[in-house]
Amino acid sequence: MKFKCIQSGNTVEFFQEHEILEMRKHTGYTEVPVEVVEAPKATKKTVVKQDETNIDG
Amino acid sequence: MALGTDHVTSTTAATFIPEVWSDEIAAAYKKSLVAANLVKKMSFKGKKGDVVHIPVPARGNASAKAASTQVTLIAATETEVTISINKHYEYSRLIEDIVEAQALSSLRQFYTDDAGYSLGRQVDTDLVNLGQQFNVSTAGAGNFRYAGAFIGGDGSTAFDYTANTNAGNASALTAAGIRRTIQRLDDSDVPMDNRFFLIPPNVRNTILGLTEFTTFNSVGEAGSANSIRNGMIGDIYGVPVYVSSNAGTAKSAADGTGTSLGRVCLMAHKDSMVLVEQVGVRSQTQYKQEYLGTLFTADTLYGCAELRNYGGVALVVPV
Repeated sequence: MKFKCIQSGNTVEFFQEHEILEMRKHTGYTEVPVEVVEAPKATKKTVVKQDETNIDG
Repeated sequence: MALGTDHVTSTTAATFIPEVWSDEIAAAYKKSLVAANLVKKMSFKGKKGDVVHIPVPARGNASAKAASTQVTLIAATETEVTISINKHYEYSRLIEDIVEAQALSSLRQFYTDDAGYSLGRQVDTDLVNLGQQFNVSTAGAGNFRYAGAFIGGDGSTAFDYTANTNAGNASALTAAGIRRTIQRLDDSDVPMDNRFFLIPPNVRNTILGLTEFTTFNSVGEAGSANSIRNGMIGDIYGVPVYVSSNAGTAKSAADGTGTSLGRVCLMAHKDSMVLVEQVGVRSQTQYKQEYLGTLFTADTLYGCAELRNYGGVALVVPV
């Protein structure tokens, strides 16, 4: 979890749960929200019918 | 008859009203100086010489003794730390007789007091600046860019004066940063006693705002013993905290010029640096007839150096 120093704008990162809880109470830092990465959208697949053997029609 | 004009006022009688000069003075407050009392002191008063050599022997390793074999000799060329006693500072005023005769006695009192303070501040500044040398790979190569320092936010990220377009990467002190610094000293086998944590006033502000060090359910101190009531920080994780407005400042230029990139906290052991005094602060006066005045001079001669490179850690926090 990243935290931004309010005064300098620099960020520090913590991984331990107790440190993250401490930092959330630290008045000199704000928590940097975790960016949610969207999963790529699935492309539609066209169903090819069995009788469409010739794409030229 | 109207009496609205021609009154005797403080303006018309100004020549009869004396002015009063106070014997009290209002000089600028002194910086709090603490470093000289925290580090190792060696007195060389009255001894001749300009360099002190302190041997730094390497610790040897035990070897397993195999049957019917010779013992293993430990090969080591011992090193040393040298301290040049080359810092000679003085403070002088020449007080002419006319001033001595006419001025209030507080003038001389102030100069005497100011001499001691200015020399003390110089010693303190030189000691505080030794923090630049901690954890620097080449002995004595440290400078105002604090290449061996870490940031206060986590105590593990190296301070980099070039980060963020030469604005530095300092961040506010945290409890995790303090713990990481203590661990760094522990990892270097630095004794747990006689450590100190020297912080600038803005870090005192930060620490007093941290609930871990102030609230009753964290520290167990109630009433007047609590930091919220008395403003004293005391010990943090067993390390006594000292506040000094003379704490170091990281600069953009190696020689101490340029912009300020952060204030510097020092956590160190007493034996990490040494102050060698050859002439303590002394004051002398001499009547100079050619100037019809008294020359007042105070001076001190000393040297200081880092004794153990791993014996202290500098943490840089925002200005």
